Amino acid sequence: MANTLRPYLDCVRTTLDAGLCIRNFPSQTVERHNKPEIEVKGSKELLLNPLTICRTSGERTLIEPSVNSVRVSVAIKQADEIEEILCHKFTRFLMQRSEQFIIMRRKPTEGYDISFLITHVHLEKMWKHKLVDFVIHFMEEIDKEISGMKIAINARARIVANEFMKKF
Amino acid sequence: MAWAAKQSGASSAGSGLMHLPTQNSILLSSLTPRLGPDALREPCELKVSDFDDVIYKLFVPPEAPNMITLHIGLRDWANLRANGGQSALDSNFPGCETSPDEGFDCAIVVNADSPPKGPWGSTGEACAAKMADIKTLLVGSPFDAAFASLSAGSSSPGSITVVDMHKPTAAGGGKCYIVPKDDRVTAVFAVDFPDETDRAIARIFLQEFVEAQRSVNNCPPAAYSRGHEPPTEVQGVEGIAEEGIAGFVSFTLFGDHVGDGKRRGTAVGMLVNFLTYLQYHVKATKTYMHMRMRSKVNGLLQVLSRAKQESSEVKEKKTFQGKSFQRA
Repeated sequence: MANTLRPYLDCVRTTLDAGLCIRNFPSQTVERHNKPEIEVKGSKELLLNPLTICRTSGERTLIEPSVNSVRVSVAIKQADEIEEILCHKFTRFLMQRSEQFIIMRRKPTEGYDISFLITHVHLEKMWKHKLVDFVIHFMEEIDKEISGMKIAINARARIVANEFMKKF
Repeated sequence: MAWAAKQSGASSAGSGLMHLPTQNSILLSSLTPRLGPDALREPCELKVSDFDDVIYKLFVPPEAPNMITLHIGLRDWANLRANGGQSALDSNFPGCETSPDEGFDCAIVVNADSPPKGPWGSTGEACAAKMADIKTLLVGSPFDAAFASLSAGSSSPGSITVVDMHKPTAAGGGKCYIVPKDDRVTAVFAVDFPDETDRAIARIFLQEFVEAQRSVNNCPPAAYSRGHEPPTEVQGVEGIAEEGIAGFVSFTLFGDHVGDGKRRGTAVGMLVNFLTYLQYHVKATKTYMHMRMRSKVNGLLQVLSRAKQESSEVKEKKTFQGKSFQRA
């Protein structure tokens, strides 16, 4: 992990650790329903203060805790046109597979690139610290992957151009 | 078969998957046994598509299996014909031209028993190779004409020849402008892709063509510019500026790039195939990106599965009757 990134991720980790204090909480309005309150936003007293952690204006994390669920939204830095496209492609690719990623949301919350929804059911089945690890690992990897892909495309382009020019 | 062995030998002599052959391999594999030493005399009717909307129809009638007719449909044949296409056809396949079928632009008919002789040679196999490469011959004829006058020293700043190479997108693109000067010929390509991702990748590729001239010796200088600011060579051409296309790339060829016939042929082939080559590698890059993303997803899923508690795994159980069920 780059040293400049560490404080940001550490902050996300601590906030997430504190925020993931959730329990089973059936719906107050509909009998036998159990909905993530952060999505329903049915009553004010069940929601906690949302928190935005910013590294730069483009790179930020929104953590919205509630009584039985926590929503984590990540905005990934996009420096130029190609990073924007790569980021869009990659997050779309991931979100199409959100069933496999249990905690991933199919759509990001507005203004962010990718969102997770962690409910009490997930925490009952999974280790909390490892779940937090996953989110942090994910944030690390997605940055690394996008810059890696960008470099790979540039390298490919160079080879392609050189091979073309050599033929003349 | 002999021709098959020869063909695979020819393709392995190239640089693997880097370059696409200029010849149409389906045409080549149908023509070589008919014109080559195998002297296959079988009727045939074959419709083939090539890059840049070129279509072929190979027709050998059952009553005269030695007469091979090749119909060709191209973009913008009227323009190509006026700019060297007709003379290229006449000099390479003298006396072979015939009337094309409905939906095709030109046609040649070749007698397999006495194949025509041209600048490419006199054997049947050479004739088959040239016929399979007819797209380069016809689409490349304006390039060839410009390069011929350049190497003969008779090139002069004249009118710009526009070749409609590729289907334009909504934003434009797909055209090539051939600009002759006293000592050089510049080919300016307007490049675009319908998809936004392809377009962005293409921009990176085009910029690298400019960089390539530093590392490759004696290559033609290349320049890249965005769609709204076309290169100086073609400024003044009506409707040249196309906002939003991937960009313009121009290759400037000097006399020594097209000095002898072989180099000239290669240069024409490379320029005719430039857009195809670019598209091929853009698509290959996208495939590569998908492969990377797929493997990354697997890696991330592994990390997530580590978070699962062992006991939470649902075990499948079976009843006495053998039905399976899951206990929550």
